[in-house]
Amino acid sequence: MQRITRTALFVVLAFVGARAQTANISGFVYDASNGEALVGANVYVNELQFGASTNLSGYFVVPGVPTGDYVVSCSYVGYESQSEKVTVSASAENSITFELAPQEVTTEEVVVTADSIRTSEKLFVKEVSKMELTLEQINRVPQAVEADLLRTLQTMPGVTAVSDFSSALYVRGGTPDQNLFLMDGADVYNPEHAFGIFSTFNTNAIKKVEISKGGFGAEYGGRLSSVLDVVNDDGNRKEFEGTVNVSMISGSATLQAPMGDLGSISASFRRTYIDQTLAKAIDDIPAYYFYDGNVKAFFDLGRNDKLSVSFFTSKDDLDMKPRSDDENAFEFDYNWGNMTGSANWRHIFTDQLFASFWLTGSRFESDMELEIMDMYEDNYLSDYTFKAALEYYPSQSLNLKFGGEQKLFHEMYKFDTDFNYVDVENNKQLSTLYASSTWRPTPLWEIDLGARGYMFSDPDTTIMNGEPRLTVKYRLDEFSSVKAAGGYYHQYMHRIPRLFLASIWAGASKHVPESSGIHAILGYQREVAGVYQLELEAYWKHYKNLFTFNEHTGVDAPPDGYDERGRPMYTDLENIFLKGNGNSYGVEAMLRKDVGAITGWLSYAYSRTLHDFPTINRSEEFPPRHDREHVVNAVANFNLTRLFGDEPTSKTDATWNFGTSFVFASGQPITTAGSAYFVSSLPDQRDLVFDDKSVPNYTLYPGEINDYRMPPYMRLDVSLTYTKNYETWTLEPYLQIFNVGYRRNVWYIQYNEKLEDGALKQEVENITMLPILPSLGVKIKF
Amino acid sequence: MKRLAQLFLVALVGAAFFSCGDPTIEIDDAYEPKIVVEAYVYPERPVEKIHITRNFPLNERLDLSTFIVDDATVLLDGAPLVFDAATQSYKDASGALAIDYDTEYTLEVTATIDGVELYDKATTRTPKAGFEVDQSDMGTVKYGDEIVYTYTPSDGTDFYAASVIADSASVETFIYDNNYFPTEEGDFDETGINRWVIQYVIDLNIDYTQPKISKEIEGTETWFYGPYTTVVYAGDDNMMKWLMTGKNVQQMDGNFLEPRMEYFETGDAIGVFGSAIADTIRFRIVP
Repeated sequence: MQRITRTALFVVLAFVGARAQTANISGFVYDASNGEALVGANVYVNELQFGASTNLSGYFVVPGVPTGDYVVSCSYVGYESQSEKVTVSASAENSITFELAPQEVTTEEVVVTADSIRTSEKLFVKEVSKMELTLEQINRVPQAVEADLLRTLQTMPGVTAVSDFSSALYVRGGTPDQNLFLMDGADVYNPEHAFGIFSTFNTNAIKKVEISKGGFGAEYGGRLSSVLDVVNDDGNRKEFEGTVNVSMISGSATLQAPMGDLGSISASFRRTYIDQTLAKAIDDIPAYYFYDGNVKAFFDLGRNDKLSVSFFTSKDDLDMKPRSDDENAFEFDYNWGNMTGSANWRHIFTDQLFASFWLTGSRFESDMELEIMDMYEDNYLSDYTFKAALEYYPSQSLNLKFGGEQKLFHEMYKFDTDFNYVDVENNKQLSTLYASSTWRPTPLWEIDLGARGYMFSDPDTTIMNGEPRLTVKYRLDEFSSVKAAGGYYHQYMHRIPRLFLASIWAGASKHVPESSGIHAILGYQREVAGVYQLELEAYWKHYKNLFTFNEHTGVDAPPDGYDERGRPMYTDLENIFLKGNGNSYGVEAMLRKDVGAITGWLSYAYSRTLHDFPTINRSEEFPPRHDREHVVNAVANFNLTRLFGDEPTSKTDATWNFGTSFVFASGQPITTAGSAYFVSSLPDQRDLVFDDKSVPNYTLYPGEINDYRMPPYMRLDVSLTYTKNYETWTLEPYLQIFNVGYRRNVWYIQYNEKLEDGALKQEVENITMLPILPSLGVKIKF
Repeated sequence: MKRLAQLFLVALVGAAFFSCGDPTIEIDDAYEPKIVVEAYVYPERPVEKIHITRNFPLNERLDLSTFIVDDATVLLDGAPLVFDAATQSYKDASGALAIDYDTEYTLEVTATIDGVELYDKATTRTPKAGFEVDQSDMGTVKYGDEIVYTYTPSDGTDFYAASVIADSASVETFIYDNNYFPTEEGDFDETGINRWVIQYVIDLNIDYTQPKISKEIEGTETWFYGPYTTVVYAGDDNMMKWLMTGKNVQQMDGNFLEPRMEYFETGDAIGVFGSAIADTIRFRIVP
């Protein structure tokens, strides 16, 4: 009945709209405390049951509103909702500026009322398979030593990790190279520090994070699995503000300041100090450190023009020299890092036409030196991009997005030893155009149809591809909706993953074609008890031309020539990859609560991924290492003060927060040794092996690839944070305990042997991941 | 709300209890019986030391004397080889089989292992003539000084390997003050000798059109003072694949990958059947 009423309402409004005068309601949404634009805030015209979301500038537009009086509501996670009465007139500007106050001292559970946006509406507006996190939510999830963006994302359904030592994201069966990482619009190619243990994103600098796990719209592309879009703080436009964080391994500072009426500036820096502390005291600890920092300047050039310029750099530096007193002794130097820069101009041509232009540069490089073996490696990938994104809102029932980007890649890899020499250097280009339309034929339906086209070229080859994208949303009733999405995706940059070493990126070429993937997603979303979000999704993905590193490259790669020293030279990456296909499918369920004294999410994900490579597992399908069938995550933050104490009444009250994060995951598949046998490396070694007193030199032979499942992975992390607000500053000491149950999760298996009464006995030894890891830190905000 | 918190607290205690412990691993029986072949033929040399053994399951006690398969049917180019108890391997008892340069030879093996009849065959092409080392006796070298040998390659053969074997390896002759893993006396015992006594060097994808090739024996190949014997091989593709991949089956994270043994046709056999030309170098390392 209600559905019929809504449809009738829409038809009436459409009819009236066609006859009556209409106008646009547009405006901005800001954080009242610091003037930051809020990205993704929901704005809703109550009477029309229709709304919009803010974009990167905090700008929104609700087009084609019939003249009259309306109540417009605005809400954003972590902020108090606000409503404004507006009289829409065809002759006036109808502009609204919302300034939302953070919920720091809000004591009430959010109650659904007539003037706030329903949870079900927020769910409907959200894109398929998209999840959002705020800085507060990231910081409240307990982690190893300090808050980490990628590790927080690993607690969401459909996003898995392979080990405690890796912050890499495996999204719905995809590999980490299939994720597009954007920081202020610039691609980040290696988002990991410390051999993967930490991510390069300094959480204190983050304003907003969105991850799209699949079925993403035509405005995104170039990767097969997911898009992680990180937007850093523009800076406090009202007053000077700072945050200093000291943990057991690193210190960081974030400073923000207004620049008068011109805008604001924000800067962050983080550095580890193991090299200056433990490494100086203990010989076995190598001199290793990493740092990352970013600066962002925001220029408010008027209502219609905003400009932001940001710069980010990160570096990891390892210097291993066990015998520092001997200049001929073994020494290993290794450093790697990212550098990105972006300039983003956002312009409102008219209320209904918004444009954003980026000029970005991104460079990832690594440099390795093992002098005693005369081994040197030098590698970088540079990506220079111009992109334009336009949004046009001709009416409530239709909006259009279109744009394009031009990328120039420069990739270089040099590897120099006494035995061989690799010298690969290429320039490549990727040109992209896209367009999509969102059509709402009735208030119950929303259909997003888009397309994206590519032209990838290097001196030897040109590849052209097109990608259709489709998303359909349908409101079942006032509480629930169903969504479906599908698309075709291409990826032109391939990664060579290397354990404990930085990955190498290589563009498609005549030898290594582009990868492609198909996504099909079906979702159901429901508001439960007003504040809970229930999301169910099922997906299926097919991959064509997956690439994995050929561990036996040396056997397969004939040299392209010889240098003056007679060393074999390699000038392309023809045989460095093995090529195959794959499929993933699964279902995910998540119950989430973002407001109140208890926040967090409970999720379950079932997934299966199978790969099919002609040269692996005798051409039989096999699960990749990251395939985990069942994953349960429970993440919760308790505001203990609000739960068990007196309600805080002013900003100077102290609060206690208790955070928990529990994960259960099916064991990873691994390949075990199926048997052992004796064969000497070289013929003349055989006699020596067999007349020895100790264990003969045997060789292990693998069983079926990834046919064995490790024991389930389980871990519980907890944190306790005390926040004391003083007049002008805040003190926040915290305790985090990683793996509080001290579960010895198995990382891999080692085989040991021993002789018993002249017979050989094999024993399996578990190499375990991180033990219980308590850590202390303190954050000071001023 | 407090009730929800209490419920969660109970769940948390449960989760904490659940997430304790030391998971155990019991490897499934992934064992499949295989014929294990270690066989090389050398031009102008008799066919001998064709080792036919079997693989064995892990985590089970194995009597080393039972893994040699002495009742296999072994044919080289159709001619039967016989088991020689003295060398625990097969050989051409007739002496009629002549191995030539640049010629294909096929080894066929049929054996019953664990009650399962297995059969496989592999073919090797012997290198062309021409390979030899320049200097068989390189004399005495001071530890840390360069050790370089030079050889004439065979036309068409781009893979060369050399074993580096310390002939008098012992606890006493170990180089404790080495440049890589300096070791205190007492931290190295007889059980460690096997780990260091045999090393090898590889020349892969060399330019065989060059008249001479030089190769350095690095410090990572010499861990003992005293005499060394180095046998240099000009190897065929099978030998190359075995040496490059046969034992390189475990990645840094412990996972296994498959060796490249596609020279065996049915998959019933593992190991190597290759061919080579061999030459020998001797030298001595002193402090």
